Amino acid sequence: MTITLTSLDNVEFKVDKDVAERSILIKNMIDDIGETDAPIPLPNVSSAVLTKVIEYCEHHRHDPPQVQDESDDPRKRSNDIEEWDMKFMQVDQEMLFEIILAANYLDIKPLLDVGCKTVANIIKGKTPEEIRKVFNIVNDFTPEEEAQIKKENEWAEDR
Amino acid sequence: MNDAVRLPEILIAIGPHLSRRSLLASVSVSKTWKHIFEPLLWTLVELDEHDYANESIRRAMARNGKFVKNLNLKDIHKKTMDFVQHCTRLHTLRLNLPDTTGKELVISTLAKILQHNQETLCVLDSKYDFGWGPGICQTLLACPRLEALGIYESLTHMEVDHDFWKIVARLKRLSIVTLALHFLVGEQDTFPNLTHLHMITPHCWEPVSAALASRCPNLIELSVADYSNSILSAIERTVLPKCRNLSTLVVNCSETTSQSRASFFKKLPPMKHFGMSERFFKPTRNEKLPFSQEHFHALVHIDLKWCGWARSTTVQELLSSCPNLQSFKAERLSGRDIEYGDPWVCLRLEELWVAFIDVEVPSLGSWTPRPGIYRQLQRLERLQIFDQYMHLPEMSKEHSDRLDFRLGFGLEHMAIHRRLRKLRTGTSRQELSVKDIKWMIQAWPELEEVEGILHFKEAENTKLGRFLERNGIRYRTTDLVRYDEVYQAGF
Repeated sequence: MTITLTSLDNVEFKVDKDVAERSILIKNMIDDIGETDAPIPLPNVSSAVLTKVIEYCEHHRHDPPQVQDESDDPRKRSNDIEEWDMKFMQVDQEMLFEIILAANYLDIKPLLDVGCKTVANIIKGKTPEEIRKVFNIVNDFTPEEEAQIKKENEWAEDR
Repeated sequence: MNDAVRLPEILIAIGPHLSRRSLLASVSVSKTWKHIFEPLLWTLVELDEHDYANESIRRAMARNGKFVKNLNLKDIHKKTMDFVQHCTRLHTLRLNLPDTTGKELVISTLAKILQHNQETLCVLDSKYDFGWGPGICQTLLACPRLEALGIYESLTHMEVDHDFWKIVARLKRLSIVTLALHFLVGEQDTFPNLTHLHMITPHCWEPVSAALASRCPNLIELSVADYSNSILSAIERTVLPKCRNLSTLVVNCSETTSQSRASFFKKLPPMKHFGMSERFFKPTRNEKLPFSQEHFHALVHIDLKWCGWARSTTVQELLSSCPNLQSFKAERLSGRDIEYGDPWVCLRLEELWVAFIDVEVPSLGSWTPRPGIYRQLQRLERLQIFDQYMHLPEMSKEHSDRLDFRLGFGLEHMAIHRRLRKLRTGTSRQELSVKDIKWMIQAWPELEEVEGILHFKEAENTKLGRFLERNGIRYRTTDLVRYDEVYQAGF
């Protein structure tokens, strides 16, 4: 069965049902309204991003469903990202963030995890100034405020 | 950032994936980043006696107390409430107090904290014995979300009253550590909410842990340290028939007989997690586990450390029969049994703790490691923690005890273990060089910790340890003396 998805910029995408259902949002929509030929509108996702998301879902269409662990701490999960996923995530920063937002909206947890881990790896090991540089962020703290934050969080470092 | 409006959404999604260090850097990046990430820094707070003298911590707690979900108190002081009064949304409270702390102060502080956090508290874990009087029981009964309780009772026997069992009736998880237990569980009492039970009762001569477990029909996890002589058969007779959902069973006992073991294993249903240890080691003949394929396939975690009856052939059998193992701990595994045994099937193994024996063969006047061992180790591509320790006092000198971590002697066979995070080598005859350590750092990019004596010369050992630390890898020396003591004394 094929599902039609419509992106923000009105581009239609035809995908197999099992691929589309990697998105829990879409899965629930299909469960609620039943099988229909009417396209599902995704006003939050542009065609460029939706193309990438569909590519991910197609590659992972046969993955077993993830079991939600009660004590689900993402930091405790294995650190490694699959090679295909790593290559998939080699996109510019803007697209990376768009993919995370889309995965969040569409409720595709594995894709959200991979995207977030990728950003977490970018942040890892960097000083605040280096983080600002990478993400083009303006420092809106006064030097006094910055010093105070550092002092207050000093004791948190060893915990 | 191009899309400043949607930035918070992204940061919130990323938050749980950041390590503590990354969070600490991130809170200084900008005001938005601080606003979003700072609460995550305060989710877990630990306070000890030095912290109570620190005014800036007190002020920080005043501002951020509401974000604290997990609070660990290593000391309780008269100033403690000044620090924790702003914690009103605690999920978990742990007390890890020294025995010298005054009971009254603890009880009054605890009562206040419970009152402030009545609506949200789910877990109370106390490693301090303050007596389970009616006052505390009443306060706990007023915490509607309480689902997990940890009790430690040290000196006198523990008398519990009806209120205590009312609390237990609501719990999902219960942990009791007590030297003596005076239980008066009502005959009719069952605890259908209890799914996880953990009991350490070293001086009880009756199998009280089995008695309580058999009242919990929905038990999923049971872990006992019970030194009565009949715990294994008590579990077999009273727990296994009643607890049909049991998937984790860990038994620490004093000693078992081969009859009690044979009968027990015949009745044991397939388990996800099985562990056993015995205080007194008695050499036994090899016993075959009467497990079906269903048993082997169900096992994900096995812990047979300090388990005298699990001989090498049993250990080898488990490694070559259980395809879903994630962690495996066992006392001894002979290189000869590996070479002549079936290939290991536990390809998902992440943690391996084992004492190898008989790992080398004489060849041309020197010793080389049995290739069969590395051949099997190489199948474990997902290995993250490798803990191979050995120094079994009763082994003769002919049985070598070293798996070599030197290049040219076996280390290069471990290049495949790219996910290795922790390596522990407990043997005392390593002679690693800087070259070997450099190789390890290159080959194992995830390496976080190495423990062991890397060189038998102390100065060399220290130098190699420092080299590891300079490369961001924690290094600790194995305390072999400690191991021998522990081994001989039991627990």
